[in-house]
Amino acid sequence: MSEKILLIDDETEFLEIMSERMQNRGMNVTTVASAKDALKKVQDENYDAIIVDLMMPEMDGLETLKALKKINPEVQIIMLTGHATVEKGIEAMKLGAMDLLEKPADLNSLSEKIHKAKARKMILVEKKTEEKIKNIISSKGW
Amino acid sequence: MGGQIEGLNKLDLEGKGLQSYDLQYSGLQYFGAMSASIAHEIKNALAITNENAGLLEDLSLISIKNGQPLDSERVARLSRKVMEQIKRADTIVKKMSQFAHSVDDPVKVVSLSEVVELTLELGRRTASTKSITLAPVSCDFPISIETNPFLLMNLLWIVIKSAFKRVNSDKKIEIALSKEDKQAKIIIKHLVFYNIMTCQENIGSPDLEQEKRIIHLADWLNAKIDMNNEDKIIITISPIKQITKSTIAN
Repeated sequence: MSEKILLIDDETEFLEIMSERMQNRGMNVTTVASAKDALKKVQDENYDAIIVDLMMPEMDGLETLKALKKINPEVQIIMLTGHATVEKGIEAMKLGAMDLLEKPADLNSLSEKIHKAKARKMILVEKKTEEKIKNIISSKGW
Repeated sequence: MGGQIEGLNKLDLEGKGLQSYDLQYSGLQYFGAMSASIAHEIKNALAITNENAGLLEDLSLISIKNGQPLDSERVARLSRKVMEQIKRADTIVKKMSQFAHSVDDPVKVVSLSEVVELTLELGRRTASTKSITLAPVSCDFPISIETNPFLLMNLLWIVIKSAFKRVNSDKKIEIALSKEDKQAKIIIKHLVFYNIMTCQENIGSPDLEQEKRIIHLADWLNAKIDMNNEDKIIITISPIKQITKSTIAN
């Protein structure tokens, strides 16, 4: 099954080309140019990985990361950045980003990170399901 | 020299030594912040160029795999996009070069609209992160002023940044220029009323650090700043002639 990706960047031309290249690699890509639109999407849809630009107008990447994690803590987020400082990278990881990639990004590296994100998300979902089943079994006293 | 600021609590300056250190540090901070913003812009142009080149490679591989010729129109379109991004990056680098050369001369006769416009261009990305638009500078006639261009840009940017908290509901800051005798005025418009006596808590006054830098820079630039005006901030600059490299360094 193909990976379901949400790509967030205020550079619309970047979104257009990047999504085409990812689609050529069999991924199912949705693009949005603002954090606000991304938050709406995440409320309605489930994604295997979300790729977020660190510096965007209105709401920057770190704020977006926090807001996305609040809506769905299992969501796997890869940060893209034009000027990575060690501090920003550490902050992003502390806030729960899965990885950080510097622009211009190598699509092969990004694809690898997306595969890892999907695998990680599946493990988290399986664990959550297992816990739910355990809770049901213990509460029912079977 | 000596600046005057209305609407700010004038601080006691602890001697020229500290003032000069602060001035240099403020300059470095400004230079660093603008360089980071420029680097970000260049990286964005490079990222798009990189993806366009990658897409051209993808299309070539797909065409070889399927045994079909390349769509020449598509290739031409992508090449044009690469050229557009190169032009964009070149414009950014030209601005960076202009900015880097603003420290060449301690005092220079400059076109005020060019200096102000460059300050705005460099600051637009930062302003956009706060959803604020910096409109192009409006000036009907050329105004020349003898000043330190880098310090003037630094002062103007700190004042504009302090005005972010006072911006009107349209979230657009407009700047007009005017000249009276030998003095030039930079008028930052579209702000909400700010009165230091009544509004300090509610509407952002510059913080202490900003305030200190504004005072030091205004002092060096022989500028007068009126922050206490209804919906605008007015920076009045008089020509400076006495500054030399050694007085700035000391």
